[in-house]
Amino acid sequence: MVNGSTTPSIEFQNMSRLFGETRAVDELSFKVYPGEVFGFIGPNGAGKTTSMRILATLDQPSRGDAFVDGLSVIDDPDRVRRRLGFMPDQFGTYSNVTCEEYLDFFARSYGLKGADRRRCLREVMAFTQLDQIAQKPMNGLSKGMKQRLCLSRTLIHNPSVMILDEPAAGLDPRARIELRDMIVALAEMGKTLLISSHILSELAEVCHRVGIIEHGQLLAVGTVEEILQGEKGKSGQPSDSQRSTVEITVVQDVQQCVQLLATRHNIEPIQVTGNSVTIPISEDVNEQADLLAELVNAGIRVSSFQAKQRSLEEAFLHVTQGRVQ
Amino acid sequence: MTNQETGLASSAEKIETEVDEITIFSAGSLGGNASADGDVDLRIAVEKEGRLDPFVDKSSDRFSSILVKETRQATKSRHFVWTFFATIIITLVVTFVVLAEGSRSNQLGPTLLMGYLVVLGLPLMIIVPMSTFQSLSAEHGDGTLQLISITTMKPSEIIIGKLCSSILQILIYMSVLAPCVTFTFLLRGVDVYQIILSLLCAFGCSVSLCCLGLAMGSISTTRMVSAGMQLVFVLILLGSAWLWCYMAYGFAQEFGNIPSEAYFWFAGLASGILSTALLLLVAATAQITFDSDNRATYLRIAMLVQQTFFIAFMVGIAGLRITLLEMLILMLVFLHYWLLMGSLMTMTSPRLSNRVRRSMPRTILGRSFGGLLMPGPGRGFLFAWTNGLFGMAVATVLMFMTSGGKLNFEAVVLSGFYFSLFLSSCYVFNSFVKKYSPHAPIWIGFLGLGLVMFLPTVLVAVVEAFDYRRRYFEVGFLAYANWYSALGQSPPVTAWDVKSTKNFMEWVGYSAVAITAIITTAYALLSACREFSVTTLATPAHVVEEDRDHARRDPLGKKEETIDDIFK
Repeated sequence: MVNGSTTPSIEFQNMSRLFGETRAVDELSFKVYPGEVFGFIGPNGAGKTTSMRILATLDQPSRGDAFVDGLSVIDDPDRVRRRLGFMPDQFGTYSNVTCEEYLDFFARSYGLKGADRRRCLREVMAFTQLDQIAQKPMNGLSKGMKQRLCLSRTLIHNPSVMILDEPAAGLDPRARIELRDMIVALAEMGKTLLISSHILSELAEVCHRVGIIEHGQLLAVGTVEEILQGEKGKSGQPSDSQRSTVEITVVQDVQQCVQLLATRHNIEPIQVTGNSVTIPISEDVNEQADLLAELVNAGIRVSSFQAKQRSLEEAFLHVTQGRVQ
Repeated sequence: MTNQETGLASSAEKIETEVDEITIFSAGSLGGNASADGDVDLRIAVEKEGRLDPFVDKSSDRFSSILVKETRQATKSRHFVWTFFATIIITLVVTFVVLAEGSRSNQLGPTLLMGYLVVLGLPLMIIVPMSTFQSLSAEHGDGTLQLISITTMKPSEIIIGKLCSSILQILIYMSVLAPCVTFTFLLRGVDVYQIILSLLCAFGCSVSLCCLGLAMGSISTTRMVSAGMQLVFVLILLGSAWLWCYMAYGFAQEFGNIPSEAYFWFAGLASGILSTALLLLVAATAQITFDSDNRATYLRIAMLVQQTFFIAFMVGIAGLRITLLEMLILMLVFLHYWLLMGSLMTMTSPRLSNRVRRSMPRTILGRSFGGLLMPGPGRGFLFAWTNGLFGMAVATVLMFMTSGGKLNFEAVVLSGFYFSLFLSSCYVFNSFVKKYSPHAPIWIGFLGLGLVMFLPTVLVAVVEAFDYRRRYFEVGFLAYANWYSALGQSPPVTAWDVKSTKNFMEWVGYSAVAITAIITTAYALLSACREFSVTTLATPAHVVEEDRDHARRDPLGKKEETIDDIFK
């Protein structure tokens, strides 16, 4: 809860979506609170886009419901649309339309009139830095510029909740950085954002929490650290995801070190590369310090003892058990 | 939350300052080497533009956003410009050719009028309807429809916006040719009514084809379906253009010879086309409406409009010299209309969304008349059944009056039984399909109707084919499975003889049809009435509060409609 509000901006309640026999989304339940940036990650075909389309009132769930600011997407889609901005992964364009005309059309479609509409157009184009190309035909825009235009369209009615489906897909590094900065700026404005992306490192930087989805089921949800520590593991038992790795480099006697680790701590697997030994270990720093002390006391000359921080990518692969489709 | 609160405003202010700087810089650079008069001219131009732009901008707020966008697109489109100038050039060519060929003829006026009407048919019957179809199907294909549909615009606004844009194009093309068509009045042989009627007819036909284009475009959800629809629509448009050429000939050459009775038929045809266009427009709207919304009510109202036109036509035609057989055929057309519509309505989902239940009628008037307008297959069955029987009753009264009280009711009663039997069987069949396949598409209802109407006939044909006594498919007792053959061998139709005697087998055949119809209809009515037990839902408090908030912010904004609003 970023803003301390208890009413979630986005809520999925046991939501399922079936396409014939295929369960695209299966009993999905989670909440996103006001002002939060929530990353939605999962392999292709996991059900991210389907969930987002349902939230954007483009589709209906087969079972369960989804809510935006407490309003049901099934029963009150028109009310949800007033407060929601959706940026799909596919960008539709019109021929013979300039960027300004495109945004003007959507501003009118959201019921903005006269001076209000002109002010919103100015503000949004300034925010996304599109004002320089306002009179350019939208068909000739680069991918990055189109994404900006799409973001502008999403922002035109000033929604409090925004859903961005793969906003960074196909962008060059510079455009990605600019997009990330814009997302950070939107988060600072207090907007709630639900973002799906394949570029997990970027999500880890901007998201307060992430949810990992696979085969339509939510596997893990929490902050990146929580997921890394496996605190949200379903079994309640310490899982592999709760374990970090440590690389120990010794001056000599690598075999003695391996023997000690294997016999006294039952650690496996132990990877030996030259004078370095890599082992899995608990994230608990006291346990790591105890092990180091024990190695030194045993006469092993340790030149470095480095715990490796696991990335979101590793956590994702771990949670999804590497079954990337 | 306004934009100022979000921080977007600060960025905008910065940009506004930048824009001012650019303007100052531009003015400076423009006026750098120019005279003082040049500066004044520039200022006047800017002031004029400054006065005009806000006026145009403010005026455009009153129109649909789709209309504004598509007008902008059209004015920049090469396709539109080319078509526009091609129409002008063809018109000039037609004028010169007709004048050169027929300068000594008395028929110059009608020939020129026919030429202009044929030229007008090119944009009005082909180009504008085609661009209307493509405009909607391209929105599907490019994924822009989903972007529009999540705005606060209603589906009806999207469709009407598209239609308005087409009407604007039609008016532009007509404005090119209308002066030429009017000019023919100055020549011999052309009446002013001829000109007005032909232009009105061109306009009506073009608008109706645009409605058809929108209906077909709304179901072109995939590239493959869109390609198929496009092919079918092109064929329809070519056929329409061909028919229009005949109509142009009729308007120009045969106008004086048209009998007065033909005007009545013409009015009937026109009302039929326009009411069908309305139905297509509502169907297109329903097609792009969100699943949980009420898509049935406006469709049913459009059907009622069509029925009203049809009944008015029947009443009017009863005054003309029309045989009882022709009147009976009109009644059968009417009943088949409701069978067709009923087959679709009974294929809708029986589950009413909370959204629909909130909008169910609460007033006495609304409950009395609005219940059948609500969604649901049972209500759909009742709606089709009652309307079919009502139309049949009107037709019967008209037939009775026109026959001077000598009407034999057997053919009418038999038709009523067949209508009830097929509609209720279709409802029962569709309910069965829906039970096991809840997401079955609505057009399966057509198949259901076809099955209940023609499967017994096919079975009869097969049985009779193996029966040596009826090797030549003579119509016999088993043919009572077929409505048409039963009516065909019914004496009332062929002879209209009140005293005709029937053999025993015929009476058994009629009775079997009647008993089956009564049993099936009673079962269907009981099933359909169960739908009326669904209770109305109250709108949740937080939704009411949300609406109040929204109404405070936007007093002229859209409000959710209920059935009661229709009866207010």
